Formats: sequence, structure tokens, C-alpha cells
Amino acid sequence: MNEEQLHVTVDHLQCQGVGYCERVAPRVFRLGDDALSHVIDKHPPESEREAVEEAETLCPSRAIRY
Amino acid sequence: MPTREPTIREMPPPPHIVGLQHFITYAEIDEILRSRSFRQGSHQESQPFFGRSLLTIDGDEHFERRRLEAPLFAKAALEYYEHTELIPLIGKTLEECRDNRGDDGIVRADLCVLLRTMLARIAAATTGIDGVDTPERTTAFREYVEQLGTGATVEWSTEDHDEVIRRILAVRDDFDRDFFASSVARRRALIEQFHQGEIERDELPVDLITMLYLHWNDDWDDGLPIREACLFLVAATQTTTHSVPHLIAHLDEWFETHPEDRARVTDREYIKRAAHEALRLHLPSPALLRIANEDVMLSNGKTIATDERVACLFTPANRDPNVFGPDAGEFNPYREVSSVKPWGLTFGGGEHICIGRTLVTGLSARTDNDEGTDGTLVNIASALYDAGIEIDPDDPPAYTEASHHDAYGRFPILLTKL
Repeated sequence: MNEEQLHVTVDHLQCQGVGYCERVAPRVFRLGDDALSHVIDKHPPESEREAVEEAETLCPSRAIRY
Repeated sequence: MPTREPTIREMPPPPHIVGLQHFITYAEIDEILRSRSFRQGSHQESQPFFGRSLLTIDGDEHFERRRLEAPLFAKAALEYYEHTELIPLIGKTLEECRDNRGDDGIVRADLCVLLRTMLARIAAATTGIDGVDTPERTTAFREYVEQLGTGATVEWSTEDHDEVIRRILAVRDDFDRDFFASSVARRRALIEQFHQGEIERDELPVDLITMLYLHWNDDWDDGLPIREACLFLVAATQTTTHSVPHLIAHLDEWFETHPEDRARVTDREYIKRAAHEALRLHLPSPALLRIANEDVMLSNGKTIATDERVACLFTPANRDPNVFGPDAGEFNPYREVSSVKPWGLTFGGGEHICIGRTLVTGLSARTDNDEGTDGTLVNIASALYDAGIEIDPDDPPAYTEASHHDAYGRFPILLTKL
């Protein structure tokens, strides 16, 4: 795997299901029926980096890593 | 020897939540805070200070405001605040304490004042307040923030609330004159230069005031920036100022029964665990209120009617033995908590989780290639132990009488290694 490639995860113990990540990066995150955020593309293209970074900063519980 | 007040004390509910339905377990409060069936119901009396600020808005408006302000708490910004503002200022503030050396050669200080001084610059930096530079200006700024904090928590005041609001609104006018107006003017001029193409975007300051005026929304009233700024100033100082004295008091008591741990005060991981316990047991905001948007039945069967205002009591929830173990009401830096954050609900939950939480607790590594930050609590407490902090045995700490908050009003200390 390329060292610079995004590898996005959500810590479900911390996720509050607010859904801001889905609003700013809908190609990477989706709120599930369990009211938690799920990563639908763990290795998104570089074009999604800015959106993932914003989702991480915007997440109220800071549950996202990339 | 003078007697010390207990590190854990029970307090009656303040008048503003008497009569409301109370929720006290971690699970039910967590459910309420996450639910979209509720809206913000706190800070009714403190509207003059916080009205339409991030704290009191919900839904799309909250999302947009949070999106605007979130970059102030991005990893790079947190690293900047910690290394460029906080750590040098902690050292400078302790250095200035040497001037207070007594005839016996011991340096004495009030920890509450010391903490507000240490945090003044970081609060100014995140908010965008200029001129907090000389000792005199820092003292003036610190006193303003302290007074504004009194207004921000008026619901908890033991004084006449209308009088507190009148007094603190006058203080805010003075703060506007002495610090805020000139800080706004400088930033608006820079933003104008940016719009004229005279400077680049990255030459603009990264702070709240700049963000607000750069992304001005015509739905906002002219008073919004100072209300939002007051929220940031109070929030950036209040949690750490509140928690560090509790941390020091708890560790002092802990070392009496666990003397082998005294040497661990140089271990930042140990201090971090202890700090999490202090945060969990002593909440700067012991209760938050929510209003139901519709009839709600919680998972445990309790019901809440449309437009009913309910009180979420964080103090019992953060001592819930189902989450934190059978000794949940006690301080234990070795506590293992796996299912929730170690500080529990101290920073709230759902979309209203405190935006500045990472300033206080630090931010763990975001990628495999960074180290994260330690936050104000660990940095300050570690520096205090390096300076040989001891609670003054002849002048015990005292809780504030001006508020129902679980807060120290004065906390005399000795700094034996300065």
C-alpha cells in the first residue's frame, strides 16, 4: 500500500452518530441504521483527502482517523 | 492545622433545574444528547451573553457555524497553540512567580489566579484578541475573562441573577472598549486588504474573529461576534481552571494512601489518567438542559412530552457504576474504562460536544505519522509538579461561595522547586 494513501477509520466507541462526516464527505462516510457513521470507502482517492480532513476536524467526538 | 474541605462533596440541585424531570444515568443522558428529538435547552438566563452563539443553536445553523469554526481546532492549529502559545506561557508565568518569594524563601501563589494567567494568551490566540502582552494587560484581560465567566454561568450563581447580568453586561462593554473593538478593527482591515488582493489568504490570522468576519452571514446581528468571542474566551479557560485544582487536591489525597505513586508525577501518562479522573468527577457544567421536539420514549421506558425541558445531571452520570465500575464515586488514576471516553460526559454529547475539548485533553494521533498533543491539563499539571507544587498546609483551599458550581474560589499553593 502506498504510504501516503488514505486509510480511513471511524472509532465506533467514540462516534456519536451526528453525521457531519457524511455531510462533508458523502463518498467516504454514511450513517447506518445503527445511528453510527460507517466508512464506505476505506481507501478513497486523493481527491477526497480535503473532505476527509474536514470530516475529521468537524467530527464532534473526533472519532475519525485517516 | 486548618481543616481541608472534602475533595468530593454533594451539592443540592441549583434552583434553575428544580421542578424539571431529571435524568441521572449515563445511558439515558447519552441517549438524549445523541437524539435528534431534542434541542438545546440550557443557557436561558445567559442569553445576553450567549444568544445565537454556537452553544445555543441547533440543526443546520449549528452545523454551518461549527464548520466555520472547526479549523481553529484542526491538528495543526492545536499543535501551534500548544507549542507556540501554551508551553512558553506556562514557563513565563511560573518564572514571574519567583518575584513572590517570601522571607522564608518559599514561593507562594493562588493556583486559581495562576491558571487563568497561563490560559489567558491561549484564549486570546484562539479568539483573536490583541494586546494581551504586558503583565498589566494580561492581568486586565484575565480579570475580564473571569468576570465574563460569572455571566456565562449566571444560572448557577448564588447572587441575584438580574444583578449579575446587569453587572457583567457593563463589564463586557468595558472589555469591548479595552480589547475587543480594536482587535475586530485590525482584522476587518486585513480582510478588506485580502478582498482587494493586497494580501494572501494565508496572511490572515487564524482565529475566531477573523473567521466570523471573513465568512460574515447577513442573518447575524452586530452583537454576535462579541457573544461568540465571550463563549470562546470563557470556554478556553474555564474547564482547565476548574479541573487543575481538583486534580492537585485528589493526587495530594491519593499520595497519602499510595505514597509509592509520588514519584510518578513526572510520568505524563500518569498525569493524563489522573486528569481524566478529575474531569470525570468534577464537571465544569454539571447539568445541561434539553427540550423535546416531539413526544419521546427512551429505551428504558421513560417518557418526555413535546416541548418539555429536562435536566441531564452529569455528576451522577459520570459516577455511574454500570459504566465506571463499583468505585465510580472515587478518584482512581488506574481506572480502566473501555466503552466510553475516560472523562465521561464532561464535554457533553451529540452535536453539542464542546468544540474546544481537544485543547484541554489533547488530540491523539490522527495518522500513523503524527504524535498528537497533550492538551492544557497535562502540560500545566506537569509543569506545576516540576515546580514542586504543594498545597499550602497553613491556608487550605476553599470552594467558591458565589456559585453552585463544584469549583474552588481560592487554592493557595507553595512552589518549592522554583
